Amino acid sequence: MDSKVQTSTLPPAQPTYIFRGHTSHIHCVQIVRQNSRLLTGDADGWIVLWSLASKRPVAVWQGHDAAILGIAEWGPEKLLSHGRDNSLKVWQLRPADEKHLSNAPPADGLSTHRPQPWLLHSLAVNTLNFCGFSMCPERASSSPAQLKHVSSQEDDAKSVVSDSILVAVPATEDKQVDIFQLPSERRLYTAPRVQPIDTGMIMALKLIHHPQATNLLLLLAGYESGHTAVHLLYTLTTDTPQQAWQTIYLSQPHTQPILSLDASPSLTTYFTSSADAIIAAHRIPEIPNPQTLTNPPEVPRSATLASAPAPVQVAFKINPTKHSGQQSLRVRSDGRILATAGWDGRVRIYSTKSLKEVAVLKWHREGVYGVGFAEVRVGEGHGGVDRVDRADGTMQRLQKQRELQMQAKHWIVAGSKDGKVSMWEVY
Amino acid sequence: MERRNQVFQILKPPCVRLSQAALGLAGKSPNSKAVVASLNELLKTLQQVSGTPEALDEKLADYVFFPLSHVLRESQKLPIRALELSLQCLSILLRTGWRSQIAPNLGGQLLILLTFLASPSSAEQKISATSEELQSASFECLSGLFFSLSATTVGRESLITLANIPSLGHAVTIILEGIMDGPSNEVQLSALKALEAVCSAVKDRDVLANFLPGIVSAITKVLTPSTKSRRFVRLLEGGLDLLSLLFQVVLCDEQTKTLRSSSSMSSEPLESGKVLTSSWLKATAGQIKIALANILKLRQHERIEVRQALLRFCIKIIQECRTSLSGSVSMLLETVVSLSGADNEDDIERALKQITVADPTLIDLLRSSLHGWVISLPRLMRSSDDKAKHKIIHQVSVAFRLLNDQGVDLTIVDRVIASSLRDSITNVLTDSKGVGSVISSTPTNALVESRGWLQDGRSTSFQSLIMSSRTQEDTVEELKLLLEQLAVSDSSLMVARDLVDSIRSNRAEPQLASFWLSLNLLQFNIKHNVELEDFLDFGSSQLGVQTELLEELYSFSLSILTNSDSDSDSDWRFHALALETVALQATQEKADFRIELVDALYPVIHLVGSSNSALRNHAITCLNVISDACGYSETSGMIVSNVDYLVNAVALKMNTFDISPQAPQVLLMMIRLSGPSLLPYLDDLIESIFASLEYFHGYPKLVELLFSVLKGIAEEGVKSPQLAIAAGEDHLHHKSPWKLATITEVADSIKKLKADAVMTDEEKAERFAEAFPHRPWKEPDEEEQDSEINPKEPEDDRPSEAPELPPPAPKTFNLLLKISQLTQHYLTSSSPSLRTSLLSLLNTTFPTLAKHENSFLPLINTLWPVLLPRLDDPEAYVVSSALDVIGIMSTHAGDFMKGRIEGTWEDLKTIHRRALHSKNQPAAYYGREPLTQIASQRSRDPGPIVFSLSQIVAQPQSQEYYVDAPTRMIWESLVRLLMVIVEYVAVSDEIFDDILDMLDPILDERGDVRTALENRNSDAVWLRDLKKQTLTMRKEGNKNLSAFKIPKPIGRPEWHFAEIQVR
Repeated sequence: MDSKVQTSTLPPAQPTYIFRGHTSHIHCVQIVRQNSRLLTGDADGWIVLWSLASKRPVAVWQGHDAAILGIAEWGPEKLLSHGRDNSLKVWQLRPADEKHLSNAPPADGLSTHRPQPWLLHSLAVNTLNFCGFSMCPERASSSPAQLKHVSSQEDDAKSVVSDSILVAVPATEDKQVDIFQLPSERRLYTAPRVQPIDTGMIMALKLIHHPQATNLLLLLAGYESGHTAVHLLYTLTTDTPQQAWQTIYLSQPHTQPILSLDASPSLTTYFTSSADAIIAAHRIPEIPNPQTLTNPPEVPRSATLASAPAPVQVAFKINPTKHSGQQSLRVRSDGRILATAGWDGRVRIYSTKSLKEVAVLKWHREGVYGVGFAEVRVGEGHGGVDRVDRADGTMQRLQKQRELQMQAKHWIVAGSKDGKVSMWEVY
Repeated sequence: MERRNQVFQILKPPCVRLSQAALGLAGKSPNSKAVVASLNELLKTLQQVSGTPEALDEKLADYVFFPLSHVLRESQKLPIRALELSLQCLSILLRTGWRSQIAPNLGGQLLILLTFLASPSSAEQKISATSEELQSASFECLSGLFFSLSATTVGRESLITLANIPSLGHAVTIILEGIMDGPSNEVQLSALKALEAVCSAVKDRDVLANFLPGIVSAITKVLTPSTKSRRFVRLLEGGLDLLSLLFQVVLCDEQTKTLRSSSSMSSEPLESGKVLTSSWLKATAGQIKIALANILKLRQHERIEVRQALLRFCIKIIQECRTSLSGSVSMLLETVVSLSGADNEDDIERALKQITVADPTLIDLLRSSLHGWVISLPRLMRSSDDKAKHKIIHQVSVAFRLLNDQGVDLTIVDRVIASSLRDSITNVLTDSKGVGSVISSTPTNALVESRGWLQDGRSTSFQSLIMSSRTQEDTVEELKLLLEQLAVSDSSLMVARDLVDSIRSNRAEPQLASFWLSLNLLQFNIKHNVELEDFLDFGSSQLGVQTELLEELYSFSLSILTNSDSDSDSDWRFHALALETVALQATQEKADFRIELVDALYPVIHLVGSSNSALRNHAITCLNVISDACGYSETSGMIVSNVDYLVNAVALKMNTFDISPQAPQVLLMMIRLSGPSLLPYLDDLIESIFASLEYFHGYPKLVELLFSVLKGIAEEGVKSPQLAIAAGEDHLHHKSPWKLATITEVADSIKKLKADAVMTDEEKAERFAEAFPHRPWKEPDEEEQDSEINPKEPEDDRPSEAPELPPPAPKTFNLLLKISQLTQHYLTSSSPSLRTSLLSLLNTTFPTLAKHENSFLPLINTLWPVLLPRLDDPEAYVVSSALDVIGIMSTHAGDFMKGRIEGTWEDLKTIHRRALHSKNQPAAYYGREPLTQIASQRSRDPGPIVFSLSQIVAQPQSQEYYVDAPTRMIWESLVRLLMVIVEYVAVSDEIFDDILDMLDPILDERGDVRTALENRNSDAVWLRDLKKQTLTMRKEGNKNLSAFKIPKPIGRPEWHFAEIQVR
């Protein structure tokens, strides 16, 4: 799939559609709701939910007073947004709610009445630079996780997944990370800074479960100094269950601050991009021997691990791309390609295996700040799309069909400084 | 009885006289004249008598016949006239007295006699001469005779008695000869009637069967169309009717059925005289088939009567004789089908239906002939005979309809019909290629003048695509009818499937043909289903297939439409068909189609800008259909509410430097339709336009188009609410303080006139110190000029403007500013129309841009150097627009323009001189003389003032001269500019004086000019008036300069009014 576009004989790709309507820089783009909606957030705090089928806004509201740093989807009904106004908000936006919201894009002026969707939570969090939050479903209950090599917990885990999530945001102390639990709004953990090296501020982070032991939390972090680290949250097997962090991986592939990072869907690898021209791939380490984890001295919660300084390792793979300033690195859900948003207005697509550049998408005249992939849906394939349910009348048939077509395509969206979002169909 | 006697009494005298005359014939002195006279008398009497019915009976007839028989006996000696008359009498007798019965003996004799008379050959031998009348009369008598004989059984039997058979045979022979070779139509017709009478008289089938071959061959000869002889229509009709009668009698199925059984039972015929055997039947049928083949050619006869007769004939035979003449039935059937096209179809079809219902074998026959037709369809379509095409299509469609109504399984036909139709249409298309694709010469305006096509009568039906000639149109109509038939049939979807599948595999014409066919077929199918669905529910399967096919077509169409530019040389009809498909899909999906507008709308609108007028009309119609289907009340409404899709499409097009004119046109149309609210979404588009301008600046047409878009943007932009409000306030603001200032300034300057030059410099220096610090934004090189600016103006102006206010509606404002800035590179373009359009663009944007002075003034600075050369433009209207632009600059920038106006003052003066020169050429000579005098008195350059002063005098005359438009235009603009300068710009007094000189001639005509000047310096104006007065006085002869003195105005003594005198 990737190989056929390596040649440069193809004409330059053209976007399929340009979403117009934002008046200021777009900071994040995200395709949500099974590829039926596009969520964008701009520098003025506006959030717009677009329908991919009709290419028009279905919900527009100003969620924050300052730039949006990150947006995400929590279940089918809730949306998270993280703004530079030091707040993390959870909105309730069910498909049925869309019609109550304004659908006039921000460019239509401020005069229109724009109700906000129902606000479920508003969390005062710290904001640092442009470091957005990272969210992951909580697998185990908030009770101390058992350190086991098991995946049998998935069953009961699922029941929990739908409800509670963990959200990681930069902590007040700018080298640490706070992890909150929602909907309880409690701060559960604070991941410590890397010792003893001075990594500078935290720039990008990602919260995941360990691929082998899904009840183990891993925090991937990128720092101002170009360092990246993987922190593991483990439970001390003492009588009183206590949890502690350990840095299990540390590397410095970049000379400039890290701008973004994302993990592959298999959670075995993660990728970092920075203000310099390097794209790096890192292996997420295996779970270390439980023995080594249990041994460290008693440490209080959210304390630093002074005793076990992690060695600085070499990144798994590095691609010096010669294009500096690539941010918003995203890996597609099938794990085959990743994309970065370039300050030079280009979206670059790389193969995850080789880190080779496989495509450059050029439309924007100004810097691109955010990219997002549509979920690649396997299984349903293309066959299922053609065979639209004709039984339920012809009234909504075309619409449904179109929506399905849209959902099946492999979109990539890019939001730029010029306030426009381009949508491309790639691979 | 009483009555009979009466009649007898009437008849008796002429009969007696006739017999006397006839008897006289036998004598020595035959007096044929007397015979003729008495025959005439008798005929008259007979006609009179026969007028009342039942007047003559058999006896009376016998009585009358007696003298006639004498006459007939002596026929050799009598003139033809006598024979004719006697035959007429005889005919009356046969019709009346002997109608019901006639003595068989007499009948036999008459038969012989009449046959003899009717025979042209016998006439040659024995009768001195014969005539057409005689022949026709004898045939008429014969028919009368046969009718009379047929009236009674005795008579009928007597006719076929052994004795009479030979004469009967002879009679038939003669009659047939008469039919075939009769000298005139009358003879032939009466002979035919006689034959008819024979047939009805002879009831014996065996006898008739004997006559059959002869009759058939003779009549066939008559009916066979030939180029040599054109047969009389009624003869043809009669012949056909006769044949059908004869066949019915002889070959009727019911008869032949029994015949067959009987003959099979006994190999030996029952009676030797009888010829009717099955072998005979077989032989006869074969012969008749040949004869029929000839007769059926009559279906192409031009007269409807004949065709109808043929139809009757065919139907009768099919009904009555289909087993005995089974070999010919298919032929007959085809004839009927083909005849059905011509006239009153319904009756024919009903008849056909009845026939086919009666006999299922006929259906098979019909089906196989349909198959044959379908196969031969493409071949025929390739021929040039339009009639034939028309016919075969019609046949196919009638047959199809019939069979379909009967629920006949048509799979065999279906299998070939798709390809056959496709080939046929291909032929039609190839014929009509290039027709209708008239490229209009001015395509570019189509889109922009949206008013035209958006609001005029909204056509919602497409023009026919294949329209080369009248006849072909008919053919296409027929084809459509056929398709309609096909659509109704159960197998239509199979056929459609075939066609749709073949669309993608074919190329060029066949592809087009498949496209056309499948579209039309689906259209009819849908129409049919809609009608049907009102009553019945078929479930989803059939509908599913239909929708699926339509969808397939639709996606194909979209792919055609979106690639419209890649192969622009491809047949435009593909696009047209694609448009029709889109429209069809829209009508099917109704409001649900709105979502499809993302992809479908732009390509359709794109084609509205096509250079092909037919395609353009198609596109417009398609738009109308879509907007109706989607529930928009107007097409423009649809465009406005989907403008985001259009913006996207246009942007993507322009981004790839697609320089087809349509994209900018569509853009312009959208801007016009949706107004300023669209502009914030257009920034990247405008950047694309700029980039295109940069790449393609060498193409004036394109540049012009792009700028027309920019102009459109500018015009809409200034309407945007925030900017519109601001502009109004601004206008007042600039003006009012200046008026005040002007007056005081004028007062000052008048005062200064007295002082010498040094004094003025001092004052200037003083002012310089005050004014300069307030104007930090001036360019350094203008400092000098700006320094002269009125101190009051900045003081008033400054505080009113907030420091560094951002411009209102930033996005739109910046857009306008950018566009205006861009014009600087194109004002030097070689295309005068572009230059004017740019200047008018500036005219539009300036009032709005002036709202934000901090961007407006630098803009003037950028534009000024390129604007100035426009004043020397060879095109008058460019000059005029340039003057207007300078005027509007002055209005809004006010004193900022002072230095520039003064800098270009000489140019303006030149323009004025030029305009004046061409305006008043004759007048210039007129007033040449006094000029020099005044000029010599002037210390300064007298140029313009001399002219104007002379003009004052010449004015009454000069008005009568024709002034050409360009000059007038420049003059008007110049006057406007000068007024603006006086009103808004603090120009120096010298310039004011010049202006006064320039405008002097029109001071009296135009109040506004006077007001403007007076506002600035009313005293100067007054002075001017005064001077004019004295000048006129001097002109009138008062050369004495001392008399030129003016009374001093009342004022302060130190003002020294004496100065006036000098000038």
